[in-house]
Amino acid sequence: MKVSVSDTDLNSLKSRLRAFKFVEPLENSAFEYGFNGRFMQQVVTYWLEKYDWRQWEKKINSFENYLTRIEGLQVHFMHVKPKKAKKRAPLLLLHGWPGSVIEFHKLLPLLTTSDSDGFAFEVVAASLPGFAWSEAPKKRGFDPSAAARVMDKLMGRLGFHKYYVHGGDWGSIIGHVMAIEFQDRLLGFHTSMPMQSFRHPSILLQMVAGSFLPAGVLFDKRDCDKIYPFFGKLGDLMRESGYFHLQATRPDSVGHALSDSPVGLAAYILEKFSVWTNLQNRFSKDGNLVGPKAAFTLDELLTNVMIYWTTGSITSSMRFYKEDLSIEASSNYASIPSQVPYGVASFPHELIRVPEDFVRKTHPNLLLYTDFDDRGGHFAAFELPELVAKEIRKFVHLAEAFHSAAAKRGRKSEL
Amino acid sequence: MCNTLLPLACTACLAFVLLAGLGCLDNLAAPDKPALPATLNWGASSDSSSDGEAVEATRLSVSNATLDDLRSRLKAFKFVEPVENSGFEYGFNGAFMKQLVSHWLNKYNWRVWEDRLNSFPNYFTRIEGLKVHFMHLKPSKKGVKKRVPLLILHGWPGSVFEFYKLIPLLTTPDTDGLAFEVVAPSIPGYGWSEAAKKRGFSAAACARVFDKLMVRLGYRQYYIQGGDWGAGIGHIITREFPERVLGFHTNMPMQPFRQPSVIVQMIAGSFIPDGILFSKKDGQKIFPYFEKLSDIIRESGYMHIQATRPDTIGHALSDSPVGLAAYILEKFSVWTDPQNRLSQTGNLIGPKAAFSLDELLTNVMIYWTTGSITSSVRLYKEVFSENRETTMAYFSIPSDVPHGVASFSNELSRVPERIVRVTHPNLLHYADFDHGGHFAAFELPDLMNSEVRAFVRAAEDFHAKKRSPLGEGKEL
Repeated sequence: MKVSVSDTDLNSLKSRLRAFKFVEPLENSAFEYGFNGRFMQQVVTYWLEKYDWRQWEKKINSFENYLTRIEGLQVHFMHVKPKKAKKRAPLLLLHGWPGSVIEFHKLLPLLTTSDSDGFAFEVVAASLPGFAWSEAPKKRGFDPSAAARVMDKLMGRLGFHKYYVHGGDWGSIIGHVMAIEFQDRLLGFHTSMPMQSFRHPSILLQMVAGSFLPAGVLFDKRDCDKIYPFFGKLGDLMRESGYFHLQATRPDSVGHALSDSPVGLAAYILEKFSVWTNLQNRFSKDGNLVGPKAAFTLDELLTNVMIYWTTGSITSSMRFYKEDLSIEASSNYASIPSQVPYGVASFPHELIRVPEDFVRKTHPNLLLYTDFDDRGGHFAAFELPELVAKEIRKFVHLAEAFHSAAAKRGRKSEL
Repeated sequence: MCNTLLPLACTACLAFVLLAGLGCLDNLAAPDKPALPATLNWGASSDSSSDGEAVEATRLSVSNATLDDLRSRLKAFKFVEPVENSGFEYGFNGAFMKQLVSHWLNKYNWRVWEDRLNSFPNYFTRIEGLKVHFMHLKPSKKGVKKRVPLLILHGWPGSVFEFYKLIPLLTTPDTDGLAFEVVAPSIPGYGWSEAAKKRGFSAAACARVFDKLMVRLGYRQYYIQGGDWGAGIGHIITREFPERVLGFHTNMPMQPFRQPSVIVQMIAGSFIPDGILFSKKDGQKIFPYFEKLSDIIRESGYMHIQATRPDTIGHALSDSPVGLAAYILEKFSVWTDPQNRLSQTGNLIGPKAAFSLDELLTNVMIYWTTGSITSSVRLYKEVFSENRETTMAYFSIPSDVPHGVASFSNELSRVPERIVRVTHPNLLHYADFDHGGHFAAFELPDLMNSEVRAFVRAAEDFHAKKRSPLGEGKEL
């Protein structure tokens, strides 16, 4: 398929932008009350006068896009094969909210290019059902495990009966579920946002004891900084999770406005690209969405917003939060172990960080856990594509060795 | 050693809990009265002009250009297809929204309602740097034997419009000749009241502004009626300016969380069967606790985002009238009756509808035409994030001011009489109803009118007895 937005739609967007209602921010509030209205004026001007959708539409189409019908839904995916590779491995890339496959636009070429050993990935980057060009479910109940099943079917349909998965945000949760449900099909799962299991008794005990024991006794300082101060981190989470609470209960109530106002949509989405890249960004007048500390270009950010706008998918994307019905289901998945090889890249500004030991409790075959101290937030693949590409290659290299060793053992035991 | 210490410790604990439960420790641990905000001018920093005392009459009016702009936005709105068989469970149902927009475009007549709003006298006056809007109604002299000042306070996502049926009932003398002089202000940042430009305009700041308003209008003592934010603000006024409040009536009492007897009774009551600690009726108001808690979680997403990132949703709600209507009217549906979320129309129309579509749209129009949705939701952040400890503290501080409660069955926060009395020893009136929701004054104006009068009669008796304890004409 080719992504193609009509001129009518682009003109209609422009008239909405021209007629947007300015919201005056409170004095000295930066991004602490949410997206700053004065900065929004700048964004809208740029959007109207400088941003060129057709250029980015071309870029999206430069990757091979397809639609296929699974479980009654048209599923969109990019399928990029390496040009020449001595060895190739299939890799499923899963985005999250409020992102899209565009987050991978720099990562993709890095993965599909052969390295010095001639190794490259054949990449499938899918849009989650209800996001972008993937059709939204009409019935209730489409939760992460349903998405996991659809993604596995997609890979199977493309001829991949064993494959790797990399994901962040919902992509991480779905990948995590896939690693439990389809253990014989996942060669490995790599993520920047591992799930925390709270039901493991030793984890709970360590969390409690660690909250008053000095760093270095139970946890090293680095791990301490990931979890403590516990109530401080909890407070951070409370401050950052208003959207989550609203979307998990009444997605349509805010969906109407976000579907009808492109500026409103941009504010709602881009606030996340600001504060989830670094929580300190909320003290900046422009949320560090521009300027020397900006992690993305304004064009990249607007392209992501344009994807939600032109496909009218914001409401269905938010319904995913409500479908993740019970906290119990989620926490069950978080606590169920998996033998699938695991890899984690832990970035300093990710919202929830899980120490290596905790991940290992439910994932004994944790082959790679890399700590980054310098930079990196929630949208790691988008922000640091070279780094993430390197990490994925490192992980898969280890996983391939793991699988050969297991195969050798298997052959030996047959003798 | 352990053999004697353990039972001793247990007994001490039990005794403590018993004493706490019986209320012996109440008000000993009451929090200190918080300080009011230091900011005294909420206008732009660049504007240092003084308030003055002027009160100007005004006519509320919306330009034709605004109405035309609204119409083109409504005509171009983006339909959101609802999930099959979801009613209002995912929020405002898109299929019903189509109907609503059609009515809004083709049937609803703003000018009629604008005239109605202007049939009440509207005024502006400048307080603490803000242009405050209010309606001020004095009963005509006919049949009035006693006139009493009443400050009536709205909440979110409401407005003074909620009182349009109640106000005429209050200003009409009853058989005893009692009539109210009503002052109905818009909270700064809501409707026609200017929004604060500085951070920190909390419910307490508003309480001070409203007290100043009443004093400016010549009322050194007055009654208050309030629901939602109006209840919170009214509550704070009685704590900060007790000498001015003759009585405070509310349909949404506040739970005094930090009173020991309340904590103990809530915990004990959650497992002791109905009828022992709490009557069955009172028990139903608060238990089963975790079910009520999950109800609260289901209903409070809006509060969470507004208390943390109000501007982030504000842009969309300011820019899309349909979006604004969905966001606001969902509350008029589910807060009137939580079962309404199972209805395809949220029971915003049909035999179970509590309000007319025109009434609902008029309230939305007030937010739209004044561009006040973002400033209205910032109040949540000012209260719950910026000053959490202070505002909540107010609700556990006791007050002697006469109190009255009307407890409607679908109100979001229901507090049994006994618990209200913990911080309100002069609770003179408490009425239970087996119907009615959160927007009680709007939904049941006649009932609210009789409730307010019943309370004020009791409060007037209370004050009369205080002035001459031995009865009329006798002196100590």
